[in-house]
Amino acid sequence: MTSPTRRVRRALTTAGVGAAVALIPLAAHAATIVPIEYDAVGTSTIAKTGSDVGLGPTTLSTDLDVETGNFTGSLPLPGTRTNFKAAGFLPVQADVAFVEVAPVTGFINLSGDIASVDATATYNVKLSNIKVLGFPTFTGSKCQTTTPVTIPVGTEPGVGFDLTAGGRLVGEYTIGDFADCGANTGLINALVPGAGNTVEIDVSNGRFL
Amino acid sequence: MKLRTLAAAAAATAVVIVSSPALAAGPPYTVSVGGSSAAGTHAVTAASTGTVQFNIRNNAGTVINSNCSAVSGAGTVTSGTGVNPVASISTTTWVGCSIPGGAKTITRNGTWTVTGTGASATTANETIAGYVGGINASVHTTANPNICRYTVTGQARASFNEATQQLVIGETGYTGNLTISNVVGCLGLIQNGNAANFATTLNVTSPDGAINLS
Repeated sequence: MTSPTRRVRRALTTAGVGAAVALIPLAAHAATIVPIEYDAVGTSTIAKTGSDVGLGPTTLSTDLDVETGNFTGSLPLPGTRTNFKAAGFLPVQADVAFVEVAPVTGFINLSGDIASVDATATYNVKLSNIKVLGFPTFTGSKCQTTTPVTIPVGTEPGVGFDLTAGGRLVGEYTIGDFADCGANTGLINALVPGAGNTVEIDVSNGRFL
Repeated sequence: MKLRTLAAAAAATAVVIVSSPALAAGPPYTVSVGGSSAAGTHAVTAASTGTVQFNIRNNAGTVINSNCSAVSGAGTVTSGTGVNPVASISTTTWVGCSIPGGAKTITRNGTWTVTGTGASATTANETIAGYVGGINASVHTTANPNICRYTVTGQARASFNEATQQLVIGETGYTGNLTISNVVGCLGLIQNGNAANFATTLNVTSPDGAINLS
């Protein structure tokens, strides 16, 4: 025969276990990663040459951890062609390719009235099909930065980021030396590497997958 | 015996979870609508006159602004003697609500009540202190509820101005009268137990006439 006290204890234990079971699945099964895709298009201005390099249009794919605000993603950039003048008067053309070497990483911060974004993308920058005065030069297929170019971007101060509408990301980065550019290695390293290169990327049309 | 024990345990649990201090109801009022204090209920609507401020202060002390451009609601006011709570709110419509990062959707749960706490008024042009009780609303980011969702529960201090027929909700100072629970996501910026502020001014209208408490 079970005493009333023992029955109450058992009932409370059962109720406690039930409550715990009811609470645990909420945490254990919470969808913490939300994939979001955005349209992205922008421009990078190379400081030393004063030339613009088109970025995209492309797709920024992100996996947002909704518990922390951290995200990882990918921003593949299609190749483009740039024009600038060496020594101020020699027209130079080159194909530019940004090859992703690491995932885009970043953080979305909610505070105050706006959400801010900070992110970092990392690419090897490859140059090919370089023409000087319209004449082809031998560059080869392996002409690229010796170390990956790290591009930090973020929302401008006071300008927010909308998870659906997107926003503008801006940043400044440094390009290091190039190697394996054949006879153009010296010319390229005299013209391109340096700090103060800027990037602006408009991110829009967020799509929750 | 078992039921009584379990009920006591449940009540104790509820006390632990609902840590916000309860606002005490004031004396019963004689409520008249359109000059009549005959016992009855009267339809009432309310519409905000400006922005609806809703702010959450998180564990780090950061304030998350989560305002709406407008809110409106409908319910009933009870006329008669010995009345308190004096009104209930059974429907609400929230417009232009956002949280940093995007729009948000608010869904009211249950019936909210308006309870007086101030002394009985003696004229028709006084402001009577009170609170909106039974507040329970589910909030989530509109684009994807998995980004951020939470529940707001508790009470909000308010006052009713008889002269202007305005209900001024002024739950400020992060007192804990309003708290956040059931947080999912929110990028780590909102936590369970965070205190919230809620402030807005509502024009209150009854088709049966002005509302007065004495």
